[in-house]
Amino acid sequence: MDLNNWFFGLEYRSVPDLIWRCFFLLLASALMLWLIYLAVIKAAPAKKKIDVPRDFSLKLRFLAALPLFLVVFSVYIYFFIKTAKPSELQWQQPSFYLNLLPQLIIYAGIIILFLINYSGYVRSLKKTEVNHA
Amino acid sequence: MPKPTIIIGIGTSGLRIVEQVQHFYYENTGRNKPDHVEYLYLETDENSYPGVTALKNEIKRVYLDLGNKETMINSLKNNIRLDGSWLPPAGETGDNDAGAGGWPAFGRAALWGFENFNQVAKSVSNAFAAVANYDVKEGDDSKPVVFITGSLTGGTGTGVFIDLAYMVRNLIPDIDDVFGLFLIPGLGKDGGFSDKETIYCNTYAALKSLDYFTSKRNGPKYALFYPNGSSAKFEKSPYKLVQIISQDYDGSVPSIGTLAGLYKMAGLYVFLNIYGLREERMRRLVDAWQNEHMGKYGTFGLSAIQYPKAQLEEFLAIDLSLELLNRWIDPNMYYAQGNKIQMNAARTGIRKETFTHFEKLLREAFKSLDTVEVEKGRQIANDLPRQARLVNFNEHQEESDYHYIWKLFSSQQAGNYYEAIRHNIKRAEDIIIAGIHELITGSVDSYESLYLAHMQLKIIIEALDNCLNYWKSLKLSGQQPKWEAMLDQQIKWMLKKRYKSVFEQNNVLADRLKTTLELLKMHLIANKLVAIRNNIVEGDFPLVTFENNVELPRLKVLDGIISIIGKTAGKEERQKDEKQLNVLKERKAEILDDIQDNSIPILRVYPSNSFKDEVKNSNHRYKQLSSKSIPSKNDIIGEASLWTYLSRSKDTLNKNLYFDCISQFERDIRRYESVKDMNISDYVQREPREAQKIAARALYALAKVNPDQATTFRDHMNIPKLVIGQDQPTINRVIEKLVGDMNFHEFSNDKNGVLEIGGLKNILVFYAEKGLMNNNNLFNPAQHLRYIRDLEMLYHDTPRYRGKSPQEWHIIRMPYIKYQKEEN
Repeated sequence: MDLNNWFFGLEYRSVPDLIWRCFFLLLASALMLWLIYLAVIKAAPAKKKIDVPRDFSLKLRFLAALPLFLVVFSVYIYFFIKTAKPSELQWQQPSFYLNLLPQLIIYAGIIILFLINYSGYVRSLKKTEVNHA
Repeated sequence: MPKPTIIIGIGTSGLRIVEQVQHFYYENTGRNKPDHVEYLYLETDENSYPGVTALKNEIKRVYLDLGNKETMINSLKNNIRLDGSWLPPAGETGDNDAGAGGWPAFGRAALWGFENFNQVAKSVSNAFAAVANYDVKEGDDSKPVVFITGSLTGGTGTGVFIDLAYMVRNLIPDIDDVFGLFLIPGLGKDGGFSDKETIYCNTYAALKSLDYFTSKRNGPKYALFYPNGSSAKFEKSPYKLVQIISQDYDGSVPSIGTLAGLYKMAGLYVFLNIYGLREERMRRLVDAWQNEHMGKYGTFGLSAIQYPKAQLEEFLAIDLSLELLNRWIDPNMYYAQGNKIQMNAARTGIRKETFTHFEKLLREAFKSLDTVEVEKGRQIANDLPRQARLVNFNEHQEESDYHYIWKLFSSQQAGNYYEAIRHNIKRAEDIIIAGIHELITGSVDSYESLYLAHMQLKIIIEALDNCLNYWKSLKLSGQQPKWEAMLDQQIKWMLKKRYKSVFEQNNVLADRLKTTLELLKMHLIANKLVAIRNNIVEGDFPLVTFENNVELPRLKVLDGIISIIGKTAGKEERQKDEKQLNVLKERKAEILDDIQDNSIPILRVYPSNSFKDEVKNSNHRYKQLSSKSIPSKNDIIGEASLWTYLSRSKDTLNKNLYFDCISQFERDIRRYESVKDMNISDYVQREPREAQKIAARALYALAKVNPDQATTFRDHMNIPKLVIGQDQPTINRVIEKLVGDMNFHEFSNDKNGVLEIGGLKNILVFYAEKGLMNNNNLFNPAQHLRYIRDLEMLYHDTPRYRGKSPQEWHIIRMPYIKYQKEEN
């Protein structure tokens, strides 16, 4: 097992290998998402025109971090496809998609996470409770 | 050379006459009085005050307090130095409740009682001091002339008029020229006494008393001690000359229709006397007195042709005042930068603006509480991040984070945020009160529309309701148990998911503490908002700020102001208890009545032949010259705040509005010369017949004489008969026209027939003094009045119908003569 295989391998080896790849990719994605989220939080201007509660602000920034992560992830996918040998890109083969499963999970997961957070945020805005936790 | 003069009006009639004097003087000179004249008036009716004048009213009121007649009379009776035999019974109330109650004895007692005597003495002395040093040329004596005027019908005039004349003589040593001008009632429309027996009885008693002190007899006529300890002893009569006038003419001329008309004639007479007529009369009467062609009594005939410039100016001032007041209380529209705006159309915009204003206020109020100090030098808003750190790093001494935060915000703890905010909540309340006050005053001052302010105040109520309802939906209220329940929820929320993973726990907790602090402010201010709302809607007393005592505007106040303005304008009916209200529309009607009163011997003439056209032209001229298309508050109070002016005092608002509007507009009208002068002789050239008719009315005395159908007045070369005008050429033109066209020779333009008074504009006066009867007797009203014998019978018969003995009747009606003496 090497790092290259974890992130750029397309060859199916075994189920545990696939699980490991999935695990490392998720871990790396989470780390990247956390870094982007942190960067978005810290990059926010100190003085705001509207005094938004910090809870809202952090939720909103997380929503902003998700698309940013998706961009970074897309760059990764670009290099991922670019480094693959043409023989490995067997689009008609179901096993090819099995090998792409970690990337697909993250792609879909990010979109689902965005939608869940977005709807939760909108819902909390509409609430008439004093705190919106 | 004019002599120092004091004019004293007695009672309400006296006031009205002095007002007319002041009015005529203003009309001719633009001033209310000359430097050598002082106006005083004595009044027992506490509700009677001088009316409106364009300039400062110069009439000084001397109130004879009859508040507690019983105590006053008893105190006079107990004064052993005084002859109290004339004092009326202490427990009685008189014919009516006002002033002296129609009883001369009460009128006299009012002069003598309590501090009244000293007050009158002081007022007369002060008036004398004010005019005594008037520029008197060498050879003139500096003793002033005193005119005392009023009616001999009510309690005040008939009770005071003799004492007052002697008081003047006592206070101003060696004074000779004390003149009286008194009004007596004419016969009623039915030719009788028209159910006003007591008035006629008072007149009879007054004439008898006057005659008692005026007729020739030996020994002191007036010898007594005054209540202040001084004494008076006089052998001479109280007055040098008393003029008696009534609404009735001596002759077949119709009577003067109204009492106001008679006041006007009396006012014109006194005015002419301070403006030059007295000198001319005295010059002529000296010989008449020496040759016994004139006695101590007189009357006169007086008529005039007048262009009523002052009435026109006042009428126009009232029109402009009405325009202004109607602008202030117009429920449908208001003016913004000179444009008329429909209230309904602007409502949406006003609502939005007002809501924004209210939100801003609320924010300011909340923000003001951020600076509350929890500890010395540490403001509450700055303390929150510190508290967040203490909680997040567990640096506090409490058993749990929950407990630590609870102690900060709980109503059950002392020395915490709750207590700090509660102690300073007035600060926030004051900001809201001051803000609403600013909104309403700003609106009233800028747009001069009280209905607009009313609308804004209602929108504020709506905004308050919305705010409170929203807070209610958040389960926020001013109740402590509810706050404690909410605090529990808040703490639980504050302590969960604090974003530690992104190192935001301090910011997040500080922010949540801030949210809780805002909720605490809402909880504590909620009751204040309810109080503010209720105060605006139905408060009897205003909420005021701690600093500067800024009052919260209330609907009741606005409604009250609108109502008073409506009543002042005459748009709203007055209540039964509002008899004293000054109403512009009524004043307008009074002027019209006066202008159209053909029963008074003043013929009103106009360049455009109609009063209505004259008003229209003058209004147009005023607006053109002043460049003001619509009247505004600046015309009345300048740059001062309209809201402050209107809300100052409800009790005086009607009076202030009425006086200020008329006087300020009148002043402006004069400044812009909106009403032009008119040369009366031009009218006489046009209408000699009308002029001759009015001149002829001056030949008839304003008192019906001749009880035996044999005696009436006669002319004499020593008794003045004058045409009084601005200059000789004007008078000449008039006389020549009357002689030439109308063959009217009663007035002449020779030296003795003309009185030139330079400042006398817009009026030409015909004056004929009366005092000599055709049987060469000297006029005495107690003998020569047409109905004097009927009066005598009435005086003696009435007590029987009133359940009084002749002596009781005498005591209350004739306080100057002892009962036995009168009988003798």
